[in-house]
Amino acid sequence: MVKKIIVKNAEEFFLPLIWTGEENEIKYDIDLNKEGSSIKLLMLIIGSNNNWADVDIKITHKKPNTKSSVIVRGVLNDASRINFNGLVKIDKGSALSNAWLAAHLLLTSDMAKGRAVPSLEILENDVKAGHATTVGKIDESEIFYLMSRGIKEKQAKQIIVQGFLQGLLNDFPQSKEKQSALKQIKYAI
Amino acid sequence: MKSLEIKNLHAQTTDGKEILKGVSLKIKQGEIHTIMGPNGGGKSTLALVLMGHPGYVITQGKIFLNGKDITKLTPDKRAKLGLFLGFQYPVEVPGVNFANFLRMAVNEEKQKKDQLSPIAFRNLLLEKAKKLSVSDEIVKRMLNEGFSGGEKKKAEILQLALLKPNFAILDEPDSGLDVDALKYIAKTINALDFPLGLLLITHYQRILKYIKPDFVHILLKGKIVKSGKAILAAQIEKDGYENFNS
Repeated sequence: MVKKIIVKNAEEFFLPLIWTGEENEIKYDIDLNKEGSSIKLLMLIIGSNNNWADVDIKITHKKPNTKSSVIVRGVLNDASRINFNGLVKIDKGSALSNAWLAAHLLLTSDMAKGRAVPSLEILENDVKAGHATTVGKIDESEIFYLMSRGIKEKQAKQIIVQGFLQGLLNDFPQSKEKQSALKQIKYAI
Repeated sequence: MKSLEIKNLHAQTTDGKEILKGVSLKIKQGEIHTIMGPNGGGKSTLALVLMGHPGYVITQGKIFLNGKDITKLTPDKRAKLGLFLGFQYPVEVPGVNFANFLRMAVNEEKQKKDQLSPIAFRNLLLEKAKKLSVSDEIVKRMLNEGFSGGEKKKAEILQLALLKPNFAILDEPDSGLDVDALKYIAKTINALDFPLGLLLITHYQRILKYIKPDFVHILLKGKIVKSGKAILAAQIEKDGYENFNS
């Protein structure tokens, strides 16, 4: 089911999401419906076993001077799969709006699969919008570098995964879900 | 006597291209050996193969560290036995704090009771950083991320100074450095507070003004074609590598 959110006031709407395998469908349709309103959506994804999910995030800037930031980081272990679609739409009349969409998926196993597709639909001229997506395996040269300093392979991979998530985790509020997600990272690799 | 010994080493890339075609070399503790040679001669491959890079296969020959055969060991085990590689192109590892990582690596080799606390390590790191003219900011920064070329090279030497290996391979520690940075690096290497055997790979004679080698070897097309004393480096500077081509 799609969750509909309409942001109607000028304070930043903060939406932290965590996925660790429970649901197969995460869908949000978010409208920025007041001048000066903004949303910051953070999503932490930890996939393990053969868990999978489709993630669809749609954000529509409907008023001028609105701001959206979607930041997704996922670590996919074992045979887990994530299919991420992010769409940011800036409607006509929403001048001076600012949109940023980033999704990065790190695969720690040959069986894991990730797909991240960003789309921008911009109908107004005077706006800023950008996106960045990557899907990739842990860099072998990073593993070799850490191992050359006496760190075991398994620990090197954990360090790299922690580093990959660090920026997102710093911005993430403390919660039971966050703690248990972090534990999953440690056990999964 | 501690030593790093390479015997008739042949190595190829994983897709079958032979790069090292029988390299033999013995370095004793306290000695400085320099390997010079033109691009494509196998200098960096030798460095990576000695540390156990997974992108190369040793097809013949052996590597001994302090008498122990390390030819088939993983890089972390080689490091623990006292080998260090200073990378020509240090790898950036995003989000990993330089100081935390280095403390982990230093403590990895110590017994629990001898391990350094975060504060003790920080002080040690700052002291060594100062000698290299590296800013105190280093404690806050991520592992090589956003470092300039010179900072990366200095950070490698900083790691060398703190990890205290028996033998270090430094792969072109001088490339991309200005003269001041080069002097700081040389000064730090010359003033290390532990005995080290050094294999210094370089393209230019410039660094040899500041670090005096005991032996110079010319690596050409995967083989050491000539070995000699420091004077050999001066001869190459004058005549180039072409005379050794036969």
